[in-house]
Amino acid sequence: MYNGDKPQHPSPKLNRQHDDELTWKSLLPAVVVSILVSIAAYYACGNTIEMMEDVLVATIRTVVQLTLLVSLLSPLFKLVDSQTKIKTTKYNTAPLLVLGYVFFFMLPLAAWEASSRSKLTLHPMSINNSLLLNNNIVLVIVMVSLLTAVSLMGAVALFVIVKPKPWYSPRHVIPLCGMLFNNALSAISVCLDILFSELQLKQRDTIELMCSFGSDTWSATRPILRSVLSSSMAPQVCAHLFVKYMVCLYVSLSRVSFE
Amino acid sequence: MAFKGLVAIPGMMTGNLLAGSSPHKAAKYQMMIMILILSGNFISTAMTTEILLWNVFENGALRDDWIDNNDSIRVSQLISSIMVPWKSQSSIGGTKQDSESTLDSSVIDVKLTSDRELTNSDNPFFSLSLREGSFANNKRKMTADFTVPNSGDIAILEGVSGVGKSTLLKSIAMLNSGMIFSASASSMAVSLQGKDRDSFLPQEWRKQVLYVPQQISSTLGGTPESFIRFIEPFHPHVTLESLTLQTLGYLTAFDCANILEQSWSELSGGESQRALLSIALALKPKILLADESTSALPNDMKLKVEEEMKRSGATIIMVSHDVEQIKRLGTVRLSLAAV
Repeated sequence: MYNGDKPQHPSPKLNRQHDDELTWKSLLPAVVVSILVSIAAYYACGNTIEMMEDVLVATIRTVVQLTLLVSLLSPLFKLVDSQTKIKTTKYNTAPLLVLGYVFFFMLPLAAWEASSRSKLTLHPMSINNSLLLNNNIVLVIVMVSLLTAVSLMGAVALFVIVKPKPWYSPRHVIPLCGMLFNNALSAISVCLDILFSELQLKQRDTIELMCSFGSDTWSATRPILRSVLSSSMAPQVCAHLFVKYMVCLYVSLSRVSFE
Repeated sequence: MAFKGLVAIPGMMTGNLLAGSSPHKAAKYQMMIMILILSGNFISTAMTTEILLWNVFENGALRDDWIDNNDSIRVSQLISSIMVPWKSQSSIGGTKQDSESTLDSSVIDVKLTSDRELTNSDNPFFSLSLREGSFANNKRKMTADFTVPNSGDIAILEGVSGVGKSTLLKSIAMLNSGMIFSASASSMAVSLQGKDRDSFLPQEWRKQVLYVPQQISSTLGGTPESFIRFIEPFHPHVTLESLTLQTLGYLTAFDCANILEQSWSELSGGESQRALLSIALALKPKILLADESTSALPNDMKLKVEEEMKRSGATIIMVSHDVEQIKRLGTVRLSLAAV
């Protein structure tokens, strides 16, 4: 199956060949393994059903969720494939469909999950804004920043680096955006957790002190921004020093020279 | 992440390898996605944090009371409630509790009395008129009317603990004090040298009317010296040298000139009180709101601090419980008490 570094366009023949590698029937041993593990878990946890249930539910969830995903994705892939083959320049709905999937299915779900994971949230009570916006302000903010980050980075990947043909090819767009969304989602949920707990407990008096001595809010919140960014990026950063450098560059724009 | 690629092959590379790509191509894809993920994470978290930080301030004061528990349902909870309804019921339903128990509707009125008659004729240095500002979760209502007639006066605010002295001082300084003016009869008007507070920007107002908290927060990093360096750019009328020198002057008078370079976390309560007060006096605000700024000091040190306060000519509104101090220092006596 080694094809070298040449970009390969998936032909229908090749696809079928790949699909044949793993059939529903050949997945059965995996299910059997999970059942065996759940039985082992039942005895290992002192004849309690909880662990066993968890293992089985996880198996069922994986199967059901991914089957649903496939039933959503495979019509989309087929449609785009057929449209690019026929080359109807007039009614090419494929890019709209792919982008619609990314921005109207993946984006709202990711923003919802990211904003609802944190223990604390923000409900500004200012009278000027509408009630709907006040209650969902975190969701809206998260959605806007996810949209910015993923469309920027996705554009870099699609138009600058990978350059698939056509550019909206769903087998490039959807996995790439999916990975970007998923990672940004977990970073944002960590960021929200830390930001709100710091604002409410740890940094509250410090910010008040700085404000009462005449500082503006932007400068008073730089230490908090630094700690939020470095801890929410930590899982990805670890050995990647250049992100630390980016954070430092960003924070050093301010006049704060603490620590 | 540092371990990545040694044993576990990362996700995108695995996918490519399984689909039949060469290891070269798979690794290149993985490198690309790694860098894009890092940049994307940085952009999205920085943006979220920055926009949220704009929204959590009102009038330049941190509204930490706007942050409350998140009771929105997660997508993953929703999915598991659909798939395994018998298991996840407890995690979704029944967690909501009414936090606002407004059963106890008795409202305590707090009133401020001054030993000076309210004189409307002459132009007072500072005047405040507060009608029914409700605070402490709408359990208390404050009414206050007082003036500080002349520049250089020292007004002493007294009252039992928890009556709302800090609340009053903070709301004068436009900080988040928890005081709400929701009822139609409630209002707050503050004027300084005949100018109304509304004509100032919050940040500008706080430079004129400086609130000094009772204690510094434990998370304040750096030293008093770095704090001076931090706040100096916001006060265009002072230079860093003069501010540091004057602070040092006050600290020398307070017998602790050596603490300027020590970190806040190493200072004792009394030392950090003196440091904050010295910086505040050196900034020369129009009015200094001192919230029990001498509470952690011994008596002889209190005398020294009072001496410096009088000598500096600053107008001060100070909270104090010390009867002797009130007799010594106060030219205006304000007492806050529940009616």
